[in-house]
Amino acid sequence: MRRRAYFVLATTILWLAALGLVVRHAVDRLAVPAWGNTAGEARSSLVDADTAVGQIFEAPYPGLYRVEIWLEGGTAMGTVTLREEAGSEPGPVLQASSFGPDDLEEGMPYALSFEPLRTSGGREYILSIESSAAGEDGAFTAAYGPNTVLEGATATLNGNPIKGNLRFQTYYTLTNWEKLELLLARMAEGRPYFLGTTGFYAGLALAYTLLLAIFLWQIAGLVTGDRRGD
Amino acid sequence: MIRPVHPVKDPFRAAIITRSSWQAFVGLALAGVVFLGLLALLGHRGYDDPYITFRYAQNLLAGRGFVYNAGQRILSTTAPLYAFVLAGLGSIWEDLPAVANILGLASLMLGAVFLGALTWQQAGRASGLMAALLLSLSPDLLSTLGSESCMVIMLILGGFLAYSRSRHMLAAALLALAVLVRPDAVLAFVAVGICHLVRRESIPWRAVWLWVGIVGVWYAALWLYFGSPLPVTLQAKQQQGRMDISEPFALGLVNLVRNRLRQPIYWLAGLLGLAGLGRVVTHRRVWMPLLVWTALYVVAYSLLGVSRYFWYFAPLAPAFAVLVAEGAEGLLTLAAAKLPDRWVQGGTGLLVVALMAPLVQSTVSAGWNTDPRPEVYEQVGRWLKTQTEPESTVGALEIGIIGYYAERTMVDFAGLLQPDISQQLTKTGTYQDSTAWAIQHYTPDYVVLYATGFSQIRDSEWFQSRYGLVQRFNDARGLHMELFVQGGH
Repeated sequence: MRRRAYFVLATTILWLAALGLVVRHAVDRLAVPAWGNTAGEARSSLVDADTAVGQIFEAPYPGLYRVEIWLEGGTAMGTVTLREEAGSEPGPVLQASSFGPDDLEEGMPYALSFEPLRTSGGREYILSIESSAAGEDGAFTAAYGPNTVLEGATATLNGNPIKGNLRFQTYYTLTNWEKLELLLARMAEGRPYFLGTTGFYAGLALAYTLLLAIFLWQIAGLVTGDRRGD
Repeated sequence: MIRPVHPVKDPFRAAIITRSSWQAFVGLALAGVVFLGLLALLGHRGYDDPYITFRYAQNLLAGRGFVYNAGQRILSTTAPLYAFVLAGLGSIWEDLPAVANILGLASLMLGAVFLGALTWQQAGRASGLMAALLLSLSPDLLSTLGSESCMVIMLILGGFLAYSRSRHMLAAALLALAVLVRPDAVLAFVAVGICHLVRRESIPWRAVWLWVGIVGVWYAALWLYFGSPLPVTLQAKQQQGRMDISEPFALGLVNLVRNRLRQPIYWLAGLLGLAGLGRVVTHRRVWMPLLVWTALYVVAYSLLGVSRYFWYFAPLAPAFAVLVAEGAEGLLTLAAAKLPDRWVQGGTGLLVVALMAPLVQSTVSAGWNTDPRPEVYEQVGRWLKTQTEPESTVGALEIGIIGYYAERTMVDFAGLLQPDISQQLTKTGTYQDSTAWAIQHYTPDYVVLYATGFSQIRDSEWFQSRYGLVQRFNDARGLHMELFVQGGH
């Protein structure tokens, strides 16, 4: 009797471990899409020593690791910086990169890549583009969509918000736990009472696991029972 | 007469019934948990086509009649009864898309229960339970949530179950209801008829006349109301199927199988499915109506020449689940003949989990990846509802979601509403050709176009002279739509 119980327990743990691997493999394959504004046929103001353009955005996910911006023209050197918005005061520079005309390819974005910011979800950032160009000579422009509307985002001119958005994309990498948290949060979003809690769905997953284990034992019992002609 | 069971005097029979009740309880509880989980994970999902049927229900509720565009009696839905069911439920809860998803999931779970019950009173019950488990997570069915697919499959499986228990009148009623939901379900009745004739059993004429009566009255009513019992969408889909840029159903099915088999995670299911086919054909008669229906369905859709749409593959899911389950049971039965019971029992669970792997992967992926189109289309529709006159006309290529939220007279550039537009879909043509013709012929007040693509129309002199850009709709995932108004410069 005891041996039977140990066998059932060990086998059930093996099955659930296999199921866990299946779920982990499924979650591993998930990725969040790039987020930003890809519409922008217009050009921003010329970026020179007196004029800086930028883009404020609220990162929708944790794990921000890359920002792309579409720049064109210019012969002077430029700088792209990423700061976290901290109210009226400029936040610390998180990333900065200098570029020259050789770094810009027509139609292709200029990318700023860095170690993933694990706490980026829900935080506001500002991407600033500056140049050392003196006046029009050597100045470059950024692709700009004056009529685009993006939640939590706006273009800036010399630090002041203006209508529309620059053409930009942000990329995120999530850990498996973050993906599961995000999935549970989406399942609970907008639902009333206890149905709006992630704990309910975690409990539902546990209930499914237990019922599935019993169901699998029933199937296993039917297979060997049928063989014996029960 | 059923002999009552006395647990003390007849413990063996009591144990079997108790065990069966426990198995049924666990199965139903599992279906309930899966229903709640999938509802939370996929309840917000939707795609464009079902919203055409939602609008019929919406117009019924609003007292505008069973029409898409008010005052135009054209049957542009393949699921007329489904529209009535939604209208009935919509009188309780007006969020029709949510109601449709709940109805779809409930139908899927009930269909899985029916599938499991098909072998309940027979040896080889394990395959029925495995098939039910696999069907409950079928990506081909879950991707159709919102549409009538899950409901019609549930009714067909219910009909097969009733037929297997010799409840012919109930089977006829369920199979007739399936035809009212979707006309191609007539093939399920034909499949049952073929199996019945092959068995050389006496024909249950009362059941046959019941089916004929229900279906006949319904389609006669549609004929009287619309002038034809067949939806105009059939012709449009056939025209689309003839286009060089379209993939016909048969080729689409071959490519679907090919693409799945390229993924190692599907190899086990593929092998077991083939083994299961042999097992079913040789000695599992209970599944024959299902297999015959599936075969008739594939032949019929191939001959119809319709364009490949993912929801056309949904009816193949039950047969696939059954074949894989039968193959699995066959393998386990072979193993049981050579190995100790404990090994076989342990192996059973691992085998089922392995078969569930691609389904879990697809389900999680479906809950994670959302199509940006429904959200953007809804924005367009709501903008039109609040910013335009009620009698305005709107032209778009995908009119389902936009039309549902806009509640304006729609012109469909793919010809699902106006048959003469579908005639413009030629073999070498494109949707830009039918769009251009529709705009020039119907001159809608508003035109919705994708910001990328359709440049041939947007940049043309004739379009720019008549229409001006009035609003852009953007999505952070890269989908951009543009709304033009006639005379807007």
